[in-house]
Parts: sequence; structure tokens; C-alpha cells
Amino acid sequence: MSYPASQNPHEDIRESTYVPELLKGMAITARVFWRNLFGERDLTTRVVERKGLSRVATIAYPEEKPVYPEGYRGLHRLVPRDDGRPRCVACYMCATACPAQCIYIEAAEYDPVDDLRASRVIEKYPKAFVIDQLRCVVCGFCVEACPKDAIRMDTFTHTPPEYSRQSFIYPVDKLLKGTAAVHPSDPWYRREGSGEPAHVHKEAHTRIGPAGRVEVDTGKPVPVTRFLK
Amino acid sequence: MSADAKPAEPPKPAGPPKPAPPKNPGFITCTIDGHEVVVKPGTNMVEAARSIGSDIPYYCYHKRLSIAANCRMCLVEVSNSPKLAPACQTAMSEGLVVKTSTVKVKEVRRSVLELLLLNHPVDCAICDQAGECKLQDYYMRYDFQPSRLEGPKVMKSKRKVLGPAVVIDQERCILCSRCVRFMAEIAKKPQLGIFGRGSHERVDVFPGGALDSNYSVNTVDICPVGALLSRDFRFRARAWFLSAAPSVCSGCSRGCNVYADYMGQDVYRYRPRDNEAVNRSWMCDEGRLTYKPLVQNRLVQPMVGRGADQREAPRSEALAVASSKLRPLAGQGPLAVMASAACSNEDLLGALSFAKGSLGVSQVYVSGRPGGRPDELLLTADRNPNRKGLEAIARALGLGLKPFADLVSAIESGSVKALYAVGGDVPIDVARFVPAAERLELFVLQAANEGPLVAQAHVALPAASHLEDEGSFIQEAGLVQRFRRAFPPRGEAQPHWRWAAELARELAGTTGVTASSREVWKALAAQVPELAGFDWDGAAPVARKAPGINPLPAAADGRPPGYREIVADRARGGTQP
Repeated sequence: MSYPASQNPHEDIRESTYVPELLKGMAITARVFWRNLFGERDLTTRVVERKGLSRVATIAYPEEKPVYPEGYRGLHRLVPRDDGRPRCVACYMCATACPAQCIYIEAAEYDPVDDLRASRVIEKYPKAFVIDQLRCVVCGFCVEACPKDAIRMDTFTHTPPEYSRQSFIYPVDKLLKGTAAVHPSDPWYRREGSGEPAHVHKEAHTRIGPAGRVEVDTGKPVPVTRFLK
Repeated sequence: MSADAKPAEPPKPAGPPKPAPPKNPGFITCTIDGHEVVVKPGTNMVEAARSIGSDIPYYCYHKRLSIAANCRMCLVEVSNSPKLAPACQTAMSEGLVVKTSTVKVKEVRRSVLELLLLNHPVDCAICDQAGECKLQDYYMRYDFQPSRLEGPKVMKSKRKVLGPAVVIDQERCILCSRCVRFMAEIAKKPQLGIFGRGSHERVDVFPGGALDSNYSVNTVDICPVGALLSRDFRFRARAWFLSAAPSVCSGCSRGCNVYADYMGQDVYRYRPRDNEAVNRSWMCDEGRLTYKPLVQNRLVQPMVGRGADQREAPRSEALAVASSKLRPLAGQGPLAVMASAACSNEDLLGALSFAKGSLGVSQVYVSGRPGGRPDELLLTADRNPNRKGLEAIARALGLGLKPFADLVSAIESGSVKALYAVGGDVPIDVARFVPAAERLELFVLQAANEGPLVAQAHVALPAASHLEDEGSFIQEAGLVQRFRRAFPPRGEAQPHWRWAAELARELAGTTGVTASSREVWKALAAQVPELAGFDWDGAAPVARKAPGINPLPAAADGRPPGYREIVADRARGGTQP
């Protein structure tokens, strides 16, 4: 609604009587009212968990929710490995980058003879990983700082309301969820544990190629490399 | 053949022209990066270049170890050779022109770094050295390009336990051999060696051996990368969160200069600080663990009452109770004073002045930590940092010193019925002193740590540790050494001198010095000849930042990242036993 720049609203009869503007506003309200009543909602915006055939534009949150757009920074999650433990190695990069200082980490060491291969290789894990969701400013720096793809904000939801402040302190068991992430570069696909591999001449072995002219017997206590003619 | 038949010697060829006389006789004058440098003969290029502020990068060079020149990082261009020369190994010569940042040198540095990083696992995320790692620093400064390696890297052992204090990650090692040279040359226990060939070379202990020298953690300090790691510090904190306070190790009477690396009110490790007169660049493994009693199991609240009746009390009440009980005994025979040789000079100045002036004693019983076995390098038998200071201050105040054994027998014979103790350490097993302490009719104790003696005290006052106050120690050779405050005292704890001054005020109404340990020194140190000439302010080590990357130790609100009241207790519990 544009007005000529020279127009003084105090001298304008249309403005000073209020009536035309009032009717104009009523018309807008009525238009939305009738549209809501008979369902002319823009159907390109999806609403999840809506029951029935209602086409009313107003979303009755939290019973109904809109679908957040791609790239929405939602509630954090700690990404699990394919064996269910967190990918996080407690490097404190997220805690260092966090401008709100809402991440608290305590590191610990996995047993060198842990049951899980990835844990044997990785050594370090977060004994405590706590995010204070009340302090968090949802900037996503933690996700960008993470060198291990271990924290993501791809849950497409925001922090749910709680009754106490303590409930907003999210420990590992509240954060560890969602689908596992697997990268071919993950070190536990390259070795059995953090010790020295059984075959110490692995490098020469790979350079020549496993199907090449070298036969390696790793069954014996000392690896024997025999060159074939 | 006669002598004169011998053909005449041909005239000697002229030979090369004689070198010009030195520009500065007795010194070497040369040019580094266009700056004229005058150094003593024998100075190597690294030290000479450092004196004019052009840093030559190196890994294997260490000023206190023999020269290995195996990392090749310090290659520089010199005027007397077509090839590049290793700066750590080459002594400066007269008229030499050295260039440390030409295109050729930069290209060689980049190549050397590429070689060193060829099989490096780049697992900085779990590496404790990250943040203070020379590989990281030099990579960012001199290399900064992705690896060109095709195929997998050589895999070695990633957490091999070498001894009680050290674990090694052989993959991260760049084979500079600093650790091997340290163990052979300084610790005189050649327990480490380099085994294997080519890219399978690794640092290890000899078969069947262990790295169990009392100086093993120094190898962790001098390791330029994250290969050697301290088992005590491993995974407990990232280096960039820690602040360093220049302090003095209180583990024995040597008084090694250290940095106390702390965050919040917790110390995470000690690192040796250079002091040519005392510890050079080293310290012992036993001393490194002496930060633990300074932060663990601390008495943080004044306690009033004894045994089952003991309860926490505010400072004012504890002071009132202590002074009302001490007042009738002041100047009487049954009251004795015990002072620990582990307290600082300022503590002892304040407390012994109070003992003499207000309590009217003429003799002080010496307590302190029990002695131990000395070793051949730094560790001494006396495990108290300030026995010399206690002796000097007592002598200056005219107080006689009596051994601790006399105190036990005096309590048992009944001639001592009340005790004011400065410091909670006793030189015998505490359990053996408890029965004697039980016989005391009054026991006022100023102690830093919880323990069986606190339970026996009628009034126990929490004392600050030496990390929580400015002060000084006199080490065994008579050197006065200043240490700086790292963080404020825990809970209700305060330094011995302040407790003594407040007791004096309650007891006699005198206005003692309660402002700071500096004021205590200014008021009381002049009467002690050993301390009178010491420049307390001037000798304080500068709390300067470590070189390298210096992120803020804490953010704007003074708290480390992730720190919050709700989790703070667990952060304190993070200092493992």
C-alpha cells in the first residue's frame, strides 16, 4: 500500500475518518477468515502429523508441525559408528569453537583389547559429552569444527520444551541417536587394533600388489616373504 | 751422498692468500640475512640466527644435547659451500654469509616436511601434542600442501607402554632421536634406542627393558611431536586450554623451576622451566606428580571441634575459638609451635613472627614431609622445599629449632600440652603421630590437606598451597627462588601468614599485615640476612605466554569452554588420583 510522498495523513479526509482504512483491514481479515474456513491453504508447504482433510493455514503446533527446510540447523546429535558407539574422539574442537561455551567434554581411553575393533583402533572417547541446550545459540560451529563427522544438526527438530533447567543439559545418551555414518577413510577399516600390524612389511606388500609376484605367509610367528620366479 | 749434493728445495708455491684478520678479535663476525652478527667461536648457526631474531626451524636440535643433524629441517644457504648446510651442526666462521629464507631454502624445507609427514598418521584429533606440536606449526608455516602419497601409510604401534610414566605412538615419531640422546647423555640410562630400517624404523626400549628412569618424562617434554606421551597427562586436557604459571616444584629441596599448567583451579601438569643454576631444562618424574596433593584432598573449610564433634565453621568463628583457647596459654611452657619446612618464606615470616610476638615461644619444632632416597641428578633426600628458609627465618627471629622427635617425646612426657602447627605434614608416618596428637589438650592446625591430623585438631584452618599465593622458597644451595600465583585459594583456604595475622589480631589486637604476601615480605624480610638482599619483585619470573598458538585460556566470562556450574564439580573430579 503506497502513498504519495507529499500526502499529509492529518489533512487527508480518507485517513482522518479511519472508515475506509477500517473497512480495508476488515476485508483482509475476512478474506483470510473465509479462506481458512473453506480451506484454501497454500498446499506447497507440508505440514506433518495433520489428521483429517483440514486445509486451514494455521498450524496447530505442537500437535502439527511444519517440515523444516533442507539445511535447517536443528537439535544436535552425536553420530554413531556402525557398531553403535559415538564417532566422537573427544578432540575438543567443538568445545573450542563454541562461542556460547555450551559443550563440556571429558575424555577417556578405550581398552587396547576392547571387544569392538573400532574402539581398539581409536583409543580416545568422550567419557562425558554434555551440551547445555539453554546456552546453545544454534550457530553450527561445532558441526563445522568436527574433524570426524561426529556431531551433526540434521535432526530437523528443535530443542523440545522441558519443565526443569537440568533437563536441557543433554548427556551422551540423549545426544547419541540417528543413523550411523560410515566413511571409507575411517581408520578402523585399515587395521585390527592400535598395535603394530602382524605383517610389518605391509607397505612393500601393497606396493607390489596382493595379486602380484609376492607370497606372504602371515601364519608363522615371523612373517616370511617369498619371492616367486 | 753428501749433504750439499742434495738438490735445493723448490720454492714453495704462493698458496692461497692469508685470510683477513678477524674484524672483532676473539669473536666471529658474520652475516645472517643481511645483519652483521658477532658471536663467540663455536656458536652454531641456529643460536647465532636466533640472536638477531631470524628463526631457523629444527626438530632434532636441542641446546643441551649432542648434535644429531638428522631431521634436515635447519638447512640454510651458506657462502662457503654450494650445498645447503645444516645450521644446527655448522659453527659460524669469520666472514660467513648465511641466508635463511631464500627460495632454495624454502623449497628444501617444504620437501623435508613432506618427507617427515609421509607416514605421519595426522591424528591430531586424539593427539595430546596438538596445539604445541612443531609438526603442526612448521606445516602451517613452511609446507601447507596436501600429501602426495599414494597407497597406505606404514603402520606401527600406536600406544606402546614404554614404562611407568611414558607411552609411545611410533607412527607419529619423526625419528629425531632427541629422546634417545637424552636418556644416554643426561639421564645416563640408555634405555631407548632406534630399531629397524628405512620407513620401519621406530623408537623403542631394548627387548625386555623398560623406560623406568626417574627422568623419563623429560623425553615427553623434548619430543617435538606427539610420539612420546605422559601417562599422567594423557587425554586429560587439550594444551590450548591450559595457562602456565611460573612456579617452583615443591617436591624436594632442589627447587626445580617449573611451569604449572592450570585451568580453572586445577593443575594438570608441571613442565620444567629453564634455570641454568638449578635444574637446567629438566625435572624428575617424582617431582612432576607433586602437583597432586596441591589440588586433591584439600581442606577447604575451617573445622572446629575434635573427632566426632568436629564440624565446619565460618572463618570468624574458627578464629574466635582458636584465639580464645590460645590466649590463656600464650607465653606458658606447655604451648609449643611446630612449623613445616614445606611452607614458603612469607608463610614462615608471618607465622613465626606471630609465634614469637603473640604466643611468646622461644623454640620451634621442625616438621615437614618425610625424607626419601636421593638420586644422581636432581632429586634430593630432603623432600621439603624450604628447610633453608625455615632455618634462616628462625635464626633471624631468635627462635631455637628443635627436631620433631623431641616434640613427640615432649607430648608423651606431658611437658607440651598445646600445639600450634603451621603446615600439616609430619616427618614420620602420620598414624604414629596421631596417638601423640590425641594427648594434646589444644591442637590448632593450619593444614592444606585433609588427613588424620585434621580429625585430631581442635581448630583446623585451611591453608593455601604455594600455587595459590605469591612467595619464595630457599632451595638447598641457598638460592632464593620466587614463584607466582596460579589461581586463588580453594574454598575458605588462605595462606598461613594471613591466618597468623588474623590470629594475632584476635589474640592481642595488633594490626598485622593481611594485605598480601608482598606486604609481609616488605614488613618482615629485612630482619633476615639471607632474605634482605633479595629483590622480591624483580626476581619474580615473568608470566609470559608460551610461543606458538595462543588461544584464550578462557573466554570472555572467564570460564573455559563447556564449563558450567552444573558440571563444574565433575570438572574438578577430572584430576584423577
